[in-house]
Amino acid sequence: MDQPASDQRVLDESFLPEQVRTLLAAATPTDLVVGVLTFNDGTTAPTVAKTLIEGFARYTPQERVLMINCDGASQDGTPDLVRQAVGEGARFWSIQHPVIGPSLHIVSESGVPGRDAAVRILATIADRLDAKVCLVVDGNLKSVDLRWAEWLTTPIFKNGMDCILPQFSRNRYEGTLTSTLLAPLTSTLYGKRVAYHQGGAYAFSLSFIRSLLLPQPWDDAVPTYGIDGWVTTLAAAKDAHVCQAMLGPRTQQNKPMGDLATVLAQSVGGVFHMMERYQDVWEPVKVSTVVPTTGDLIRVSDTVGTLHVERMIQGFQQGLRDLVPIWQIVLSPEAFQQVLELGVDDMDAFRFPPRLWVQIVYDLALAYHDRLLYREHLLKSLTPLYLGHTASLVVATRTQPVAGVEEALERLAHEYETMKPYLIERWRWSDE
Amino acid sequence: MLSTDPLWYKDAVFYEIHVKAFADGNGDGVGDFQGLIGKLDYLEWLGVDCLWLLPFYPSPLKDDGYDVADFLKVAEQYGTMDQVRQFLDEAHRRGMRVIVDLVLNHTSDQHAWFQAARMSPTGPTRDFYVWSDNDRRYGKARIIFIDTEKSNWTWDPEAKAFYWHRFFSHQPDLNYENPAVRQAMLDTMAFWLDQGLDGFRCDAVPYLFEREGTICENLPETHDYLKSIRQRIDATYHGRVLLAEANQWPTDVRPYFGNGDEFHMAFHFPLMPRLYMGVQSENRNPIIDMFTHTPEIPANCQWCLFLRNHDELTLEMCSGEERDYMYYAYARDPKVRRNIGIGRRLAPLLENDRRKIELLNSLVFTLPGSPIIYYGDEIGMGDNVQLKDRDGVRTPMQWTMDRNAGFSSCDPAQLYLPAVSGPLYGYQSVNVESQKDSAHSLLQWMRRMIGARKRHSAFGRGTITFLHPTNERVLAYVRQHEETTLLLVHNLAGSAQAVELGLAAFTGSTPVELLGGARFPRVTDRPYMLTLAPYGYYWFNLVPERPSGELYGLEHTAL
Repeated sequence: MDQPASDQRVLDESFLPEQVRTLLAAATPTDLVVGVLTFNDGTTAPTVAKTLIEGFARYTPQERVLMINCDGASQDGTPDLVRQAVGEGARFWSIQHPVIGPSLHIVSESGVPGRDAAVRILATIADRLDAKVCLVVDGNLKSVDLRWAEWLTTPIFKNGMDCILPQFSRNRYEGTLTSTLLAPLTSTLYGKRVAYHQGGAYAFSLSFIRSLLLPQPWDDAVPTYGIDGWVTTLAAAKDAHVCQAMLGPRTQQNKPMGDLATVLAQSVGGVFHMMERYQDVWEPVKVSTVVPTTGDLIRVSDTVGTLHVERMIQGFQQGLRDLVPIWQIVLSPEAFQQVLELGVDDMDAFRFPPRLWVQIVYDLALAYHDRLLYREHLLKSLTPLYLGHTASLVVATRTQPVAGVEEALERLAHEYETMKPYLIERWRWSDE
Repeated sequence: MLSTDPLWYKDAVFYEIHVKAFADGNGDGVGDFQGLIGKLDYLEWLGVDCLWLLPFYPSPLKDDGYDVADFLKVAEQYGTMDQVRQFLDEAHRRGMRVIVDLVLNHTSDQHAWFQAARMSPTGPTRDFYVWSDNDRRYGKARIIFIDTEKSNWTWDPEAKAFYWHRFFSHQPDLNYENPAVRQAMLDTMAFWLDQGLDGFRCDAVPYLFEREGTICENLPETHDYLKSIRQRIDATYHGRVLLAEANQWPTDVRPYFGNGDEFHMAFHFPLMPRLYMGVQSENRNPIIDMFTHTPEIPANCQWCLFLRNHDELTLEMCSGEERDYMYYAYARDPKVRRNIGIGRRLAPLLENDRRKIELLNSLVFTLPGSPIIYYGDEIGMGDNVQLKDRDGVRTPMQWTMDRNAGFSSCDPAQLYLPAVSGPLYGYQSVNVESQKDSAHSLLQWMRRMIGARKRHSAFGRGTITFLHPTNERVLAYVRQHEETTLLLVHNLAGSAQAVELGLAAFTGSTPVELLGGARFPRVTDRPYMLTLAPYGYYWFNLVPERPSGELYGLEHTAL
């Protein structure tokens, strides 16, 4: 990836807080900008910052590190606690990023409002300081390990990678929206098999920041659909060397994320939105390939968690009662008919065919593209279908070893690729 | 697809239809099965679960079909047996069941059984009826149709004997002491169930047997026979239902449920006038009192609730004072009084006040029981008080603003009854077509309420606990079933009201309004404050606070 010199680019930096401008004016050379994003994370963020400082001292002692706490106006004194934890020995800035509520009323998995603004500020600081790497880490994490410092930066410092995306070890039914939709759809579209684990931690090279990240239109879509999915899709879609860091389990201090329909609308809407932007990229892609990894090998944990399958099926049934008029508009006639014919009388026999699920996802992407309905309503109408498909996945595999779940998800991913011509054909037809 | 749940009737919304009044398929001015089949799509769209048809058997029609001349045939003007079977198939295909009126107590005097009986004292059907050489037997039995009948006995010159009849004199009572009668009526039921019917609304069941020295109502022999009917149906058929018409106090109706081995359902007659009283007096006590006097029923049984039906709004189960109040409030014009009741439809009774219509429907949709909608009331049809007897509430269904209200293509003079055509309720302004086109019409509102009711089995199966806020103009109660708790709040007054509800038992729950999905402030251990518009109501689902805050168990881990 070519790296434009900073003085050759004219970027709008009016979004930078005055405090940051002042700090930049007096800044000394930096190799690594580390941003810890916080919002009322006083119990976890100090440990995150301290662990990372120790990790960099151990694994990248030659790099000049600047740690920045980007805080979204915490009420629990988080910035002071982080500052105390970092101590006097490390270079440290504490800044407050602007917070503007997105239309879908959801922040992100890290629960940091204004997260997009924080990432943009951090990337701009890295750009202005000519830092080779910019690392973003969530302050609510409880599972940060010293080795993250190596895994999340070395591939850029030493191996020429442009973007390091996280991959966490998960329970067998954890992240089903990601594993049944976001990840396989993104992989199929852009040809890079990324886990699409949003947030937690990711890192960019300076060239990625200058060529791809900062020049993007930072419009309303970014906060609306979430910076994490946006960054992931950007890395997958663009000509960037992507690496996945296997970071072990992800434990964190949970915060309110909004209801399931909103989470779904935001995350899926983000992918659909980017499909419109990068149509020229994903149309010609025929196959997907794995991306390099760093970190520890990850296996899916056999822990099931507390899923309420019966309620999920009831949620699907409620959709059958309430949303049929919407589904009739957004789904293709054959998919709509198949949904109506799904038998739900016998829970143990309930099956939602993978092929139907993929067709539904593609139909919704097309309906989104064609603006058949108000987009938020359209996206939220997917919720009962997602519940139905997930319930079916659980019912079909719950007595199998964890490998059975992985195989089912692999078959589903293959289905996405097999049916991609359907998506392309209808998308083109729609554009004519 | 029909539900396979044998207790389907507990969740069902019923819809009462008179075949002659619903739709005329052959253009002769009388509704028929051909027309009815053509309107099944509408009923499916409306969302009702079970159709209740009034008698369609051959009849001289002196009592609008309740004077049956042949239990095993279809009246010629309504169609053929094949059309009935086609109608049943089409209804079932749309997920709707069908029950039909069965008149157990009596026949028409034109029935072949009676005609043979009166000809010969030794004929095989003579004992199918109750005969006497004087009119003094069973003297304690009351006369039901006091407007027209002077005695329960009528002299038959051909038979040279008096015959017993609890209703009109042209409707001789069957003699259930006779085993042949009991068997014949069992066979009648089996015949219709074999055609595909899903059950019966059994007419006038308290009067089947007579015994000297009693009022000849609710006798033990009657219950024994009804239980034998239930046994035969349960042994041979699946998912069928028996609905009792017993215009009695709830404590007197209770035995008709037996131990869950007699009727599946029974009308709650006394509740109905008290719903009207509650709204008129702006006080919840008439309604709550009625439930105080309503005994528990077996778990597999259900009450049927209604606001109006094909008869007069009966006031038989009212005290003299209550009756006077109802006449004063709803029937000051003597022309609208019929027998012991009021011969008006729902909308005219409520002065066409949309708010009151919604409020009363909301009550029957949310109180314990399964609601029955009388045809046309879903669009606020009016009546014609100039017509005789109860014909005023049996006029043609108003489908469109076209000729004959879209009911029939015949010459208007040919109609079995004239369509309502006044300026307020006439078919030109009140019809299905126009209300389907209007998102905020009464019809669309009814459809939404039916849909909302179907989403929660607590409406049909839940327990009820009345709340007792100090403001007596507000009727509030909680329905609970399995994990669902519903809070229903009604303002019976024509002015806005505030109310504080004691919901401490549900602390932490979030009331979610069922029709719009709005989340209200969380319930705490302090009184829960609500304000209600005039005749306003709320249907809330009290969503409990979950330890994880999750309903499905994947909200925090979906991504």
